[in-house]
Amino acid sequence: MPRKLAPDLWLFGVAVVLLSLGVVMVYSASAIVAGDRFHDAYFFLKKQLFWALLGAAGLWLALRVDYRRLERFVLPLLAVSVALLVLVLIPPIGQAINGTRRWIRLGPVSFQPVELAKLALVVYLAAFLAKKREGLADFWQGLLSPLVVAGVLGALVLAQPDLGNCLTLIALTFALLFLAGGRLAHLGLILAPAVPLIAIAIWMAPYRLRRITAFLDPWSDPRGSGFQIIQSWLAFGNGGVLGQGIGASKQKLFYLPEAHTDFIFAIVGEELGFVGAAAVVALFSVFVWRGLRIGLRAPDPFGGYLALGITVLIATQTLVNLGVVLGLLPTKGLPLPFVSFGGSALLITMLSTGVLLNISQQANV
Amino acid sequence: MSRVFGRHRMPGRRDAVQQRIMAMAVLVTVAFVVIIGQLWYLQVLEGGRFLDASDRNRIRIRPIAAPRGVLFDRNGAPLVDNRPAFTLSLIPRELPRDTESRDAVLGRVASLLRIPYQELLDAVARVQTDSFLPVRVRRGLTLQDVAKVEEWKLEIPGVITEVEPQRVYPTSRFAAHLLGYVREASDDQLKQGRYRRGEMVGQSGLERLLDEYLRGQDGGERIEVDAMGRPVRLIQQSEPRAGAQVITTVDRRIQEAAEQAMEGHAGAVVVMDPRNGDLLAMVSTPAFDIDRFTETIDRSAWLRVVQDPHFPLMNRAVQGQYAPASILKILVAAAGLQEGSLTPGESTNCTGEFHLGAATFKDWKEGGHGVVDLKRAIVQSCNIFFYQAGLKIGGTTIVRYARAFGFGASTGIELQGEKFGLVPRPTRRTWPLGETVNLSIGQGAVLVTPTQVARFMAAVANGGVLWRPRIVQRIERPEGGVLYSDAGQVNGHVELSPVVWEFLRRSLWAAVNDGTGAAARIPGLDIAGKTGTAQLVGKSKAALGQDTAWFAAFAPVKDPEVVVVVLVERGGRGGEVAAPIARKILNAIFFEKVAAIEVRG
Repeated sequence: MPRKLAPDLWLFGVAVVLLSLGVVMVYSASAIVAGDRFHDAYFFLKKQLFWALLGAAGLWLALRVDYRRLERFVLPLLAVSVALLVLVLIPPIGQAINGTRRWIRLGPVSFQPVELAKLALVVYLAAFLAKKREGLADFWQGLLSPLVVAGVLGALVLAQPDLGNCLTLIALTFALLFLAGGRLAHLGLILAPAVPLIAIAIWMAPYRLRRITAFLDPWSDPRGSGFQIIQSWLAFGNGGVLGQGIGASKQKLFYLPEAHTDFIFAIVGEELGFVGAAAVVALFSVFVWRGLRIGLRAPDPFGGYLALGITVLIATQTLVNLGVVLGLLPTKGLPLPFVSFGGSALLITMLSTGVLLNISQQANV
Repeated sequence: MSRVFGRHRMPGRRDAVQQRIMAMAVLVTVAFVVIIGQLWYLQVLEGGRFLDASDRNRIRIRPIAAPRGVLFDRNGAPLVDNRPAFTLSLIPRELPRDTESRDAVLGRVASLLRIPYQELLDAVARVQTDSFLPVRVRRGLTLQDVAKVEEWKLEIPGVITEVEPQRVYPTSRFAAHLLGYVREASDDQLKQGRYRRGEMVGQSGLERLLDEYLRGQDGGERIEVDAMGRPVRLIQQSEPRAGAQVITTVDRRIQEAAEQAMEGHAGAVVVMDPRNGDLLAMVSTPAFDIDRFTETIDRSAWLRVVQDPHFPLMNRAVQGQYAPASILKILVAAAGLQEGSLTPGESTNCTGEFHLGAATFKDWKEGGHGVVDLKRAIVQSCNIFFYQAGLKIGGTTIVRYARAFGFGASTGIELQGEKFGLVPRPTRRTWPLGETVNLSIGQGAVLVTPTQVARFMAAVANGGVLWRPRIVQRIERPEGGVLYSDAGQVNGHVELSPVVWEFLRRSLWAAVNDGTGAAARIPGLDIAGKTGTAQLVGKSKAALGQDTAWFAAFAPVKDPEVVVVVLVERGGRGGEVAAPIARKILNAIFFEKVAAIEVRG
């Protein structure tokens, strides 16, 4: 049966290139803001390097430990995720930033529980689908428990509030159910009531509506809600075909908010031009291609669904982030995997990549 | 391709999973293609148009300094305030790039405003050349200066004027030591990393002690400006948060009166409420001009203040250490009476001289006071009587009482740099009797601060309670809400028989009404007080009038409300120099207040 193979070098190479590019771009995009705010131009770079090293260690660990062992940790992983998601809502533990509670602070490092929750959900779904895939055609037997688990996690994330990640969790669940062969009619039936729910979520927080209208026509309010997306477009425009060169972005100079986090791709576009930005997109598409391939070739159903889940998770976040930064989707706070500043997201992405590589190592050809 | 999903097909649906993976791959591919398409549109097709829009304007960051918290006196009158002041700043990023034209701009500014050229160069050299943040060069510009800068605006890019709140004081030297001064963070303070360059930081007194509360939180705005520097658009703004308000225990009227009374003298005044330790006034002279410190002052002016032989920066009320002289006789009498080694009836014939072995100790009065009992010895401040009394009581006991009354230790006052004075530790072997003799009249190896004396006098007035001197009553947020409050604290207690307290109070009343402190007398007010004159060693003719003059008083004798301690360096006799000053202050406290109330009523 399964033989030890070399891990997928394409995937590994893409991850290394994206990670390195990310560290460089985080420094480039944040140096001046960091100097202004913290009197230390390297403030964000240092943090990002720390997390990148931690992430590399995580990747190595995941590569060494057989992914099948994860199946036994489904419940603990879910339990820890739920516990952290509950804890983060409690004021002294969860750091309130801009009216949201998304971070747990431990000394100098902060952690975003939702990142762990995303991975936990993937592992759970993979284990569930591997066991129950014959029963998936039955609505109650096949779909109820994954929907309940995803629903609980999603509700907790929405309470932070973090609509972007909540939608990611839901999209991930549906994508995996779809891939596993869930009936389209069932999935559609469940999605139908989600529409009014999303409407309510938007109605509860009017800024979400503003973001959506800003997306449709940013020029209607170029100084308010449309500001960020226009500044992002200006960054891409500045970049032209070949870019301004690394470090030469103007938009990062306080024009573009979140230049080193969610909107880092705009700075990539400005400094590396169409050529560089398109290359980054190409790297991500290679990642998705290799990820799906690993899923197809996995030695067992658990490994297959796990690989597909991780790939779908990273692909969703990538596509949503790029869509937002390019003004194709309404503004959602999701980081660009590997590249954006943000410790816990990077760590989990690296861990997940390690798991993917581990599965690729054992695929039976 | 042999794969898991292939082998475990869903019943009745061939390769369903594989098909769905392919469907997803197609979907993702389409999404990536759309993204590349949008990139192409933004960067290649529309690149030029967007380039234009983003290049036209510049961003400018304008820090908005938070107004520093205001200090109030106990009746709600402000002790300091803020007024808008103009600051000259440079924005490094907007200065000309090449050194030559940059220096031309700086040269023009220097000649326009008569600022040393070097000062401008230094200011630029301190920061990175591409910094957006304005660098302050000089505070306190006049309106004419501002007009000049505006007039020359186009020729001097990168030079701006800003409006910032600045401290103002009722008079330039008002409560200088107590309030302290505010200055830009020094290089050392910058190294600590708690402050930003150009930030105003309290450097002494209450401004320093309460800096964290007073400073507030600076705000700022990012604005987009056009090529002329005119604001086009506000990108981001955070409101500055004003510092907290401090309600002190100081009474501005008494503080002013005490400063007026000290005019022309070097020394200190402490006015305290013996019922709760509240500091009503604290004066140290000579004072410095607080205002002048606030602005960016040039080095020579600074050195003049620092190197002044009269040490204007020293707060003599807590940092000056002096021989207590005859003030200590109160304590010696208290010790003797309480320990039983002295009785009120005890008397001595004072001839003006006292012999101990081969040494001769003199009285301050040629020929002596004749026959005196304890009370008269206090009233006349007879040294001879106390030499003998001191020997009877013993140095160790006097020292024990001195410590009990809080000498030689911190009063607990919150001002930084408090000196503790000096109380000797007599041991049998190294303690010559001559030292005890000197100690009995507050000379020799004993030093006290005016604040310690005020606390001691307050204890005599209130029957032995030693209060921690309180300066800050409350700190409040400007929008309401108490951040800190101090209810006052007793940090010592001296138990003496009520008879002893009563005797001391009567004797001190007599000292003012029929003795050395007569110059402090005010008809209609019962004042108790004691003079002190600390002789400088080597009493030559030239040294005459160089003595340290003390007067410590409380009033009214029944239910005392205030303690006033006056110290004048190189003033002369306590009764002649310090007592009249105390009289002026007491008069202001008790009678001008009444007058004020009557006028208002």
